[in-house]
Amino acid sequence: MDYKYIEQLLERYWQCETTVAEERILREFFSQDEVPSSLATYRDLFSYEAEEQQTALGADFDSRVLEKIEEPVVSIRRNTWKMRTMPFLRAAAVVAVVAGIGFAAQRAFTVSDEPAVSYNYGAYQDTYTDPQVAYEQMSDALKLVSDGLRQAGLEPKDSVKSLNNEKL
Amino acid sequence: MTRRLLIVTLALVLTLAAQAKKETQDFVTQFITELQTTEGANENDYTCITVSPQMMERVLQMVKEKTLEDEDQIRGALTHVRSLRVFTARENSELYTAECKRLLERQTRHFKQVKTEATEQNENTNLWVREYNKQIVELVLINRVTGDDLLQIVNLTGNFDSEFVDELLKM
Repeated sequence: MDYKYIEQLLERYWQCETTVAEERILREFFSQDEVPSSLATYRDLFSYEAEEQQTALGADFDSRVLEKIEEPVVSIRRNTWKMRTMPFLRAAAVVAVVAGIGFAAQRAFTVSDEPAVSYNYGAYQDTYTDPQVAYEQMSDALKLVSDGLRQAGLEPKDSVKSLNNEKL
Repeated sequence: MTRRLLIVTLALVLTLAAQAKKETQDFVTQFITELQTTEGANENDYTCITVSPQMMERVLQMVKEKTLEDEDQIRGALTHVRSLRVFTARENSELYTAECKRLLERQTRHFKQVKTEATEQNENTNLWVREYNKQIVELVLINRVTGDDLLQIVNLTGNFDSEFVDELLKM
């Protein structure tokens, strides 16, 4: 069989000069069961086109595409009173914890014989710079307090209970 | 994350602020503050002397070094005192006495009067004490000399126990 015509068509095909009708001839030729071995190498090229034309979308194609492109479902949660106050509750919890630690530390480090009342000594401005003068003022003041205690009816050897319990 | 950090920082700041030790004002400081808004009170009528805890330490050191023989009771009592303030009014003592008693009576939660049977001798002398944990930490003596139109308020802070009272009563 003379395949010269087919070879010419192929040559024109490679040169992109074939018409639609000539390409159809080529496809029909290569779709035959028997193709000469010299042309068999080109068979896959033309049978590929025919096979691909038969390829169709599966029945589930649409649903799969839609599944991929659909927006994710966003669940809307109600902003409840509890959720709104949660940051403040957390802050209060932190305050409670730190205050607890601070209180415990304060208790642990407080020297027991020091009065727990903290006076404003930082604001004091001494009237005297000479300790001797301060001592004399102190002596006078203590004598005045001594007289006051005596007038309050306290006697020597009365315990401090006389001041803070019985006489109050 | 930033918001959470902000909340925690705020909480810490508030906590530390709350933990900051609140300072108490001694009675004379409160009284002088009160007088600034009292009608009829005049700064020229009164004086106030202050012996701070720092000066008290110097006084004690001086007393220790000099070993004044006849002042044993004073030395014993001094060790209990942390500070002294003496308010003296030489004019309008009646006004200041009334104001002072009014302020003390407003603070009965803190100050309690050492009650005495009124006699001619002590009618113008009042003693008030402030306690903390059953320990006297502040002492206020009000002494008015009506004839001289004089008012003296002696305000001591410190640790006043039975030993202190005994030392004073021996003076």
